[in-house]
Amino acid sequence: MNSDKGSACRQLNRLAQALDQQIDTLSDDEIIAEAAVLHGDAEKAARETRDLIQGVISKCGRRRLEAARRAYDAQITGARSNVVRLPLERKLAVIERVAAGDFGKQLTLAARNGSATETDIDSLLDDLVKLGLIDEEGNEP
Amino acid sequence: MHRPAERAYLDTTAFIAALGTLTDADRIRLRYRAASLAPGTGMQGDDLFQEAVRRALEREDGRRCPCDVPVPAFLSNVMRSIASAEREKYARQVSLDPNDNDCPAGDPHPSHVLDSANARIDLQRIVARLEELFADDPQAQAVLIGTMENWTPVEIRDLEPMDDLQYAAARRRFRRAILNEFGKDGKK
Repeated sequence: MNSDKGSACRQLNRLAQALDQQIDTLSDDEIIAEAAVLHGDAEKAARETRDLIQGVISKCGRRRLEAARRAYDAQITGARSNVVRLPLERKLAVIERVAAGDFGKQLTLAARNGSATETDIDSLLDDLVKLGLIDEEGNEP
Repeated sequence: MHRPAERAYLDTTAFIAALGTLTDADRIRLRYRAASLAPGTGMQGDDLFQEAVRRALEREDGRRCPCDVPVPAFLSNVMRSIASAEREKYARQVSLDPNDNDCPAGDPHPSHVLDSANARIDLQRIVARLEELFADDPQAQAVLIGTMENWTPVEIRDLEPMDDLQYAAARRRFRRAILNEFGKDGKK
């Protein structure tokens, strides 16, 4: 550490420590009186401070919620069959092959002409795995 | 043989509830403590205060409030720890600026001597700017310099002769100026 910088750091540490101790020596009434001087209105200072705390609580709550959503989404994605990770053309080929059996042709047509989204296709593939019509990799069981 | 009882900690819900029970004086004292600790951290006091609450809520670095420690005392320690670590961090940064020791006049705000490009603050410039803050008040400036140099009250009053009342008033002006300068983001 550069000695000048180290010296400045020590000076600022001493300053912080001394002020910190001064704050401790003030009674509650003196703190409120200080707020009236510094903010013009102690009530306003108190309200602002409550808002600062509430702001952090709200932000942390939102972050926790988003993290929970991400974890849920990851769980859902992780629970899906391997077949949904295949390229789109291969997914369509799997559906066509299955539909060529007892499945109706409408689904195949919808998938082929693009009126079904890839999400729809993935859901269908998941269902086919659950029904035992294909295995995890999209092959006939 | 008795095993020592494990220390109990407030969970997030209990910590939030405890924050809600703080008195106005508790909250304002915490906020002023944050402003006192802010110089050299690159943060304003209000930012430091919120950062401490956030780290406590998110239990960052394993920070958890023990059930037997009052929340204001816990948060005060978190703020002290953050402030000290930030100043140390900036003190350790190796400057690449050949004019590092220059202290150009006209910085907009003494707490924000922040090089945003490098996320670097120059502690020496903050000390210089603090001294400038009291340029028109030699008694408060003597309190500042004496405090930073760890002088006794007698030594401070040798630098700038003051009777007891004048010394107490100078300390008050010094404290209020710092709280005002390093508290809120931006000037009122």
